[in-house]
Amino acid sequence: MLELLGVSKRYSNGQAALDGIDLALPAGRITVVIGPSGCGKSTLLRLLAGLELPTSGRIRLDGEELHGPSPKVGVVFQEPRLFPWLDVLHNVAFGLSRRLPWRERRELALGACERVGLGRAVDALPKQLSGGMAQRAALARALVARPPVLLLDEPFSALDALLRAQLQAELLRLWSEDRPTLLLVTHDLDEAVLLADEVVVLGGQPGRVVSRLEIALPRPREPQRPAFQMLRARLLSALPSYNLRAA
Amino acid sequence: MATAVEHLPRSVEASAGTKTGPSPARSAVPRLLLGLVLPLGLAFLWELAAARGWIARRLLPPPTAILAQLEELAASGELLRHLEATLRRVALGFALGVAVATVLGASTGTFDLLRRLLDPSLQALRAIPSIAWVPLFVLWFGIFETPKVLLIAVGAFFPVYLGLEAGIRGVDRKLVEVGRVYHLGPFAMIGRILLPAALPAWLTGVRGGLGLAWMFVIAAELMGASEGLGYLLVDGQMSGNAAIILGSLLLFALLGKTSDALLVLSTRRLVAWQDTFGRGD
Repeated sequence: MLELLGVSKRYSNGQAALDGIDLALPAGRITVVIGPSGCGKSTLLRLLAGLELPTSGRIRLDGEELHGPSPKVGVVFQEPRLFPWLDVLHNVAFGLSRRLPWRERRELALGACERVGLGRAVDALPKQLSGGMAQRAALARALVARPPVLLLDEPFSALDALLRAQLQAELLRLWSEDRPTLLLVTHDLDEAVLLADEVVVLGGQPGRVVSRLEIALPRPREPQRPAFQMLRARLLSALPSYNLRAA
Repeated sequence: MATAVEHLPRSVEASAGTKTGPSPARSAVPRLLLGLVLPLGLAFLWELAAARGWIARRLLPPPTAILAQLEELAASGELLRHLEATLRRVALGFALGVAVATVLGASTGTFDLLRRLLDPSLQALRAIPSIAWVPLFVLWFGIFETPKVLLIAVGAFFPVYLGLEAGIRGVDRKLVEVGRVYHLGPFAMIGRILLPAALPAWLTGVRGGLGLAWMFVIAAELMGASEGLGYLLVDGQMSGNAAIILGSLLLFALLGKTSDALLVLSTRRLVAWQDTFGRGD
């Protein structure tokens, strides 16, 4: 269980990004955070990742307060953020503690590359990868240590529609293997309804939780079904209408 | 994008293929010849001008006379002794300068506090023309090898220090964040992210430092030496032998260019990961 208790974030320039967020992410579920740009949804993820500290309030993982990046939390950013001087295998192995011997790290990294479909590209350098492959490698790096919590910040927003659909399906498959607590930030309504157990809608400046929507559809979900479309419509009406980038 | 549907192995091969371009083996020879056209052409004209009596041979001896002079020095074993002395000084001073600059540059580039503490003083030291250190070094260390090596080290230090410091500060914040997500400590952050990312900038600095090391070895040897290429220069001036002077200049040009080419060649693989416009030479 990942909890935010009255979390607010104000940057040093005085700008407030989040105001009094209370949120509990039950273990093993997919929570999607959606909202217009500037509502603080990326800030929320950065707080959970330990990259920023809340100005007030607390963040707890399984009852323990987080004060910075935790080994229990894996992160995938909007950009792949691979190290250009390392090949795919070494980039993925970066997600493992150096206390493990290299042979073991290599085995685990190879396994993670297989899981994301990069088994034949382990020797490639990042400059040789397409956008989709690079993001797969980033996913493998976050998954390799099998963290109980996985945070994803608009991970597929830079990919074309076909590739996005493919990676969304693969994310669900990977999630169903280990069942980590998964939090995904997006501005894509379809992505939210497709993946989420629960959608949290942020809005306002500074951002607050404006509504929460349970998505109880069985998986795999089909966007053309009326039930899917109905939930999408409910979500759209819950969203503050300004500044919406992808409706 | 042509990669909507991903064929993993093929797309790796295809994009790798476009990056390598023509094979180095095929293009290396013509490229070398191309670089020789200008110096050889000038040497030919120079020789011709001397043969026709258009220039005073005593002040500007032709290439053949310079080569003959070098051959004579080589035959007596003297040339080797001078070359060895100069090479040893450059190697020692350069290595020392690069080592100290790397440690200091990595420290001030990484830690704000250290930069605020040290960088202003280092920048002030940089403002002193390096030759101005000579009297002090001679006073402290005598006239033998130590002051010469130190002077070369001072010369090689600054480009490396500046390059690495700026390189580290220019590392993408996003990559540093990845390091934070994986809880790297400060030293792991330096060794695994900052230094590798700043390696191209460091190498540019090292290249500049090598050039300055060659410049400063002359200054060091002109200030008083019994051997070395700089000594040969002074010797040629004293004895009015322009061929010796020109021969030494030629050797400096060759050594400088060769050492630079070796440096670039031996480090090319270290920076092959860069996705850049230039393919290097």
